[in-house]
Amino acid sequence: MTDKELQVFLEGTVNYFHEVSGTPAAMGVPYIKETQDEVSLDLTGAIGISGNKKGVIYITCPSLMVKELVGIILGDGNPDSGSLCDMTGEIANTIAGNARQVFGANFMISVPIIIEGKPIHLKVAAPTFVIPITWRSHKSFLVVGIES
Amino acid sequence: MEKSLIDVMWVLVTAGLVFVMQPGFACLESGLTRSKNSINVAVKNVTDAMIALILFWFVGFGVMFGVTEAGWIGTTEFMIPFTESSWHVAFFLFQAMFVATAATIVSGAVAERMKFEAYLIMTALISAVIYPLFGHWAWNGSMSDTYSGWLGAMGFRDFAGSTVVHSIGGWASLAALVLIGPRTGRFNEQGVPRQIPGSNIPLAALGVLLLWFGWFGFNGGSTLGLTERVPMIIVNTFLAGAAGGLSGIAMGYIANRKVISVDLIFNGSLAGLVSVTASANVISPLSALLIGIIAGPVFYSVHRLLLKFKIDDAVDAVPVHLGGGIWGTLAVAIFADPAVLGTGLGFADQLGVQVLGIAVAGVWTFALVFIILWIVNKLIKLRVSEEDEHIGLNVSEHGATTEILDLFIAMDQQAKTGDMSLRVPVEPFTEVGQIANRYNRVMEALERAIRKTEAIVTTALDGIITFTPDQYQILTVNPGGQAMFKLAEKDLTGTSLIRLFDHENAGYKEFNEFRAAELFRQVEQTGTPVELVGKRADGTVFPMEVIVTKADLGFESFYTGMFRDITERKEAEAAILAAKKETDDILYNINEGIFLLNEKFEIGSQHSLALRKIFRRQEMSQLNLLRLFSKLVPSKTYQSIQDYLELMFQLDIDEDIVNNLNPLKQIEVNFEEENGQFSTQYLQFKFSRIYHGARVSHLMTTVSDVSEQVLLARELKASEERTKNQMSLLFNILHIDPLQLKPFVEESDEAVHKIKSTLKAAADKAIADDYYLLLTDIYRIVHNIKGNASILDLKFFAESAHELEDMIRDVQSKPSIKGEDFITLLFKISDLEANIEDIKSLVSRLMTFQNAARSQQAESEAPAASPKTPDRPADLVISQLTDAIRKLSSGLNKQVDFNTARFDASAVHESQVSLVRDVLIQLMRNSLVHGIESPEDRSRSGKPATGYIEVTTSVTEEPGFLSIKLRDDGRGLQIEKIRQKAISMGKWNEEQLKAMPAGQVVKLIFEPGFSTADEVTMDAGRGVGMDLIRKNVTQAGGKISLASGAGKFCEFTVKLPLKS
Amino acid sequence: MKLLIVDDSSIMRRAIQKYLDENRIEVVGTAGNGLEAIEVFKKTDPDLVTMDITMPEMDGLTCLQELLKIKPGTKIMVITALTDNATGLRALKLGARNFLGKPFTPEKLNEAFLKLIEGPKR
Repeated sequence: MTDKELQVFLEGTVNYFHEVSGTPAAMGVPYIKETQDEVSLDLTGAIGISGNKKGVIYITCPSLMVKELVGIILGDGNPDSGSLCDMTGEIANTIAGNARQVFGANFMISVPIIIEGKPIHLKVAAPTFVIPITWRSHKSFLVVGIES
Repeated sequence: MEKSLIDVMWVLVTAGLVFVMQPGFACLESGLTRSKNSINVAVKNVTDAMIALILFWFVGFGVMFGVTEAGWIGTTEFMIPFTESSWHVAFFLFQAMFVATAATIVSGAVAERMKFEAYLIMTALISAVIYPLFGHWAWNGSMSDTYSGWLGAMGFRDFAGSTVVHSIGGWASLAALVLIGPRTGRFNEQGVPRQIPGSNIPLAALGVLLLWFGWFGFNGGSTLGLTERVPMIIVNTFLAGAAGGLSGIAMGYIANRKVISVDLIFNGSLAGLVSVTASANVISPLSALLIGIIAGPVFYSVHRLLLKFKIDDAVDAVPVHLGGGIWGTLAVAIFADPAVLGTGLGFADQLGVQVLGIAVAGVWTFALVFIILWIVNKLIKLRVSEEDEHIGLNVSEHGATTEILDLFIAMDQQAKTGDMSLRVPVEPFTEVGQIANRYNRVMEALERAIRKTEAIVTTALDGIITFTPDQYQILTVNPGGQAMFKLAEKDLTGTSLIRLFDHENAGYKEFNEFRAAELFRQVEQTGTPVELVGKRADGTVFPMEVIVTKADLGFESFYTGMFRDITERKEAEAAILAAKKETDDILYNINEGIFLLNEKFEIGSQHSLALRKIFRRQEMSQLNLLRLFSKLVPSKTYQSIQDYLELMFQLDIDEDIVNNLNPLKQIEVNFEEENGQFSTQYLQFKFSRIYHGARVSHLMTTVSDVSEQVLLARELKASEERTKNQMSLLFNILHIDPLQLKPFVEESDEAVHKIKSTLKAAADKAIADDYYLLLTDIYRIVHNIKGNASILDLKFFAESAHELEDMIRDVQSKPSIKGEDFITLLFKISDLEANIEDIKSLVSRLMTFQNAARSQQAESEAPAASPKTPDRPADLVISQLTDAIRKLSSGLNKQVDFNTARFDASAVHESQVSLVRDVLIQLMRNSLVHGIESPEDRSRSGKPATGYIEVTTSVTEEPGFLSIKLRDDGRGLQIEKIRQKAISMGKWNEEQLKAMPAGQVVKLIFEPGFSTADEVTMDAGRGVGMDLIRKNVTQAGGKISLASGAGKFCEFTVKLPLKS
Repeated sequence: MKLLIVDDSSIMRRAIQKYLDENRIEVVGTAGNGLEAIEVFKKTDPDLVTMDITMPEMDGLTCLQELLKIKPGTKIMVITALTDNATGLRALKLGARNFLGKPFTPEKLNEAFLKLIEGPKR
C-alpha cells in the first residue's frame, strides 16, 4: 500500500465524522504497529478486504464516542450494547465502502466484524499503520493493514 | 385203344384248355413283377408259345413221339403233314401245348432282367432239344398206349408231366437263374432278401385261376381220350390245387401271423396242382388232398432254400414247378394204386424208378441249359445292363414308351437331379398330357420361387453355408462364403465346417465339433449372433459374426450358418473406442479446463476434468458460464464478459477484433470459502469460434488457472527488486568486515525502534505535542544512522536516510504541521526498516561464510598457533576512522595524514565505543571539510600540502575522565564566518551576535542547524552534527571543549567519565 | 406510501426511520438481510424499499432483483457504503430507481426519497 492509498481511508474517516456530526475528525501522529503492540479500545469494527487489495482495516473506539454518535444519529441518549456494536460496524463499513470510489469495484469488503473489549485477535498484514483519530475529544484508532 | 371222334373232340378241347395256361402264366407273371417289365413278361409268354409250337412241329414232335431209336430218340414224325388221322393231329396239338407250357415256365423265373434274345434262345433250346428228348424217354409210345422210351420202359410213370413238363421247366429256370443272378436290389449287402412288390396282384390272381382252369385240360386231357376216369382225374386235380392253396395259407400263417403273403396262397395252390399232375389218374381223392397239402411245405422249403442260396426266382417258378414236380413224381410211388398204375413194380422199385426219372431230368436239363447258356452268355450277355434293368425291360428290350412312362421318366429325372429348369414332355390332347402340363406349371412356379431364394443366397455378400448337424460336414456354400474363405465350392463341400474356424475360438484353445455344437445350440436358442474368428484358405484369420439355424425336414435336417466378415466393423469399433479413450484420456489428464460453449452460454457435457477443479464445482455440464461468473467476479467485469460473449457469437464482427478485447485474458476471480473469507484465483480464458454451416454454433473454450504464474510473476518482480537491492546491498557490504556491520545494524535497528516508539508515544499522548520538535528528534536519529552508513560506505543506505532527512525537513518547513503530514514519513521509515532487515540477514549469512572460511584456515594451519586475541570494538573505531578519512579526503581532493599513535583504544570502555566513534567521526568530518585546506591553499600559505589530523587519548588530563582529543592543522575555526552564519539564521539577536566575543561565537557551532558549509552535502552541512555530538556527550556525562588558532589548528577535546 | 427498510445495521434502520420527515411515507417493515427482506416484502407489500448492499444471507443487489420479480414497479432505493460508480450503475441497471451513498445527512436522505417517489423531472 502506498501513502496515497492510506490517505484514502483517512479522508474517508474524516469525511464520515463530518457528514454525520458536522464536526470533523482530526488525525494524530500515525505510527507503524509492532506485532506485539495491542491497539484496541472498547469497541472495534473490522472489515476484511479482498480483491485488488487484501487485508484488514479496523476502527477501534471508546464506547463513549460511539454512544455520542448514536445519540446524534438517533437521538437516543442511552443506547444498548447491541446498538453500540451496530454503530461501530456501521462506521467501519462506511469508511471501507467509500474507499471503493478510489479503489474500484474490485475492492471488495466483507460484512463488519464487531469485537468488544480486548484483546482482538486479528491477523493484520505488515506493515500495519495506526492512525490516531480525534473527534470531539474522543480518541480512536484507525488501523490499516493492507497489502496490494 | 380205338379213338373215337369224341376222344378227338376231348383232346382238342383240353388242348384249348392247356393253351389257356398261356394267358394264365402271362397274367400271373405280369402281376407278380413290376410294371416297368410288364410288357416284357407278357411278350415273352406270347412269343415263347409261338416258338415252342413251331419248333415242336419242326423237330420236337418227331424227337419225342417218332419211332424210337433204342428208346432214346425219335426218328420220324418231323414236320408232320397231318394227313393222318384226326386224332393224330389232335394228339400233336395237345402235346404242342405242353411244350409251350414247359417253355413258358422259365419266363417268370428270369423275369425283369433277362435279355429277350437270350430268352428266345432258351425257349428254342427247351422246345427243340431238352423237352422232346426227355419226353421221348418218358412218354414215347403214348400214341400207341405203350411205353417205348427207356425210362417209360423201366416203369417210370408221370401221368400229365409233373416231371416232363414242370420239372423240366423248373430245372431250366434254375440253371438260368444261377447264371443270370438276382435282380438288383433283391438282396442287400448283407444278403437279406428284400421284397420286390408285384405290380398287379389282382392280375396275378386272375392268372392263377386261369392256370387252374387250364389244368382241367392239362390233366383231364392226358388220358388222350374221354374215358371213364376223366371226371375223377379232374376232381383229383382241383382237390390237390385247393389243398395246396390252403397249405400255403398255413405256411404263411406260421411265417407271419399278421400278414399272409398272397403269393404263398397262389403258389401253394399251383404247387398242389403241379404235384397231382403226375398221379391224378391213379389216386383216390383223399390222396389227392394229401398230395396237395404236402405240396405246400414242399414249395415253401424250396422257396426258402432259394433265398438262402441267394437265387432270385421272380415268381417262385422253381419252388412251384420244380419242387412240386419232384414231389408229384415221388407221390406216384407213394399214393398210386399199383393195380391201376400197371407197372408191376413194388413200392420201393417204383419209388426208385421215379427217383431215377427225376434225377435224369435234372441232370439232363440243368447241365445242358447251363452249358448252352454259359456259352450264350459269353457271346451275348444273358442279362440286361443295370441301367436297362433299372429303366425297365419294357423300354430297354422293347422300346415301349407310353406317355405316362415318359412323364414318369422326366419326373424321375427331375427328382434325381433337382434341376428346376426341366419340364416334362406334354402330349397334347391326352390325359397324361394334361397332368404333364399342370406339372410343368407347378415346376415353373416352384422354379421362380426357388430362383428368388437362390438369388438371395447366390448374391448375398455374407457367407451362407449349410452343413450336417452330426458331423458338421459342409453341404453347400454360396458364392459369398466362397469368397470369404477363399475356397471354391468343390473344395468346401464334404469338408468339416470346423476348419473354417481359427483353432482358438470362443475362449477355447481348441475349437472342435463339441465346442461348436455347444455354441451353435446356444446361438440357435437365443437367436443372437456370436462373434468368432474365421480362418481363410491362406491361413489368415478374421473376425466374423455367426448365426446358425436348424432346418428340420423330417427325413433330413441340416444347419444353415450365416457368416459375416466383421473385420471392418471391428476395426471401426476399435477405432471409435480408441478415439474415445484418447479423448477421455485427454479430457481426464489435461490441466486446462476445456469445453464447448453454446449460444446460451451453457457449458457442454464433454469437458475436461480439470474444469471442475478450476471452478470448484462437481458438476459443470449445462451450467451457464455467465451466471457462474456472476458469483465470482465484480459486476463491472461481468458486464463486459457478457458483452464479449455475445459479440463472439455475432457473425458480423471479426473474431480477432473481438478477441483482442477479451476481458478474460487474465481475470481475477474470487471464490468464497466457508469461513466467509475470499480466495483469489487468476484464470485465463481463451475462446475461439466453431462454425456449423454458416453460423457460429459453439465457442471452443480453454481455461487455465494461472494464479500461480501471476503470483509467481509478482513474487519474482518483488524478489527481483529485493534481489536488486540485496545485490547492491551485497556489493556494498562485501568489502566491509561483517564484524563492523554487525554493530551498525544493531544500532540502526535500535534507532528505528526509537523512532517508532517516539511516534507511538506522541500518538498515545492525550494532547498533540509540538510536531516540530518531534520531527527534530526523529531527524537526529536518522542523521545518526546516515552517518554510520556513510562511514561504512553503505552508499544506498545513506542515500535513503538522506531522503528521509529531506522529507522531514520539508514537513518541518510547513507553516502548520498536521498529523497527515507524517504519513509519507511513516512509509519511508518503514522502507528504511525493511532495508535494515535485509542488511541484517545478509550480514548473518556473510558471517557464517566467513566463520566457515576462517575455521578451514585454522584447520590447515598448525594447531600450535596461539589463539588470536579478539579485536576489541575500540580498535575497530580507529580502523573505521582511518578508512573514512582516506575516503573523505580523496573525495575532497585534500591530503591528510592521520595519526593514531597516541590513541589507546583500551582506555575506551565498551559502552562508550559507539559514542566515541560517533564523536570522532563527526569531528573528523568537520576537520576535513571545514578545517583542512586544499593542498594548493596550504602550499600558498606555506603549509605542507598534506594536512595532519591526530587523535589522542589521555586519562591523566582530568582525573576520572577519559580525554579524547582530535587536532588538525587546518585553518581553525573562522570566527567571522560563524558570526555571519548566526546572523543569517535569524535565530538570535543580530546586535547581540555582533557584540559577541570570539570565545562565545565559537560555541555557536553547537547550535542545531548550524553549519557553515556552503552546500548541504552528504558529508557535512546541515549543521546537525555538532549539536548532536554535544547532546550525546552531555547525556553520557561528559563535556566537550574546543580550542582553535586561526589559520593554524583546531582541537576538540571530549571528556567522558572514565569507566573500567 | 408504504416503506420497507432493509439494512443489516439496526442503527441504520432506525436512523432512516428517524430522518424521514415525509408525511406521505409509512414504514411498514424492516429486515436485516436479503432473505428476511423477501419474507417481509411479501407480507407487507410496500411501495418503496431502501436496500443496503453488504448484508449476510443474500446481498442487496440480488434481493433487489427478487423483489422486483415479486412486484415489478416497486420503487427501490439502494443505500450503501459502496459508493463507486460501478456499484451504482449496476444497481440502477438491475432496477433500482435511486442510489444514496453512506454516510448521508438527513437532508440528503429526504432529497433522495423525494426523487424516488416523484421520479425524473418532466
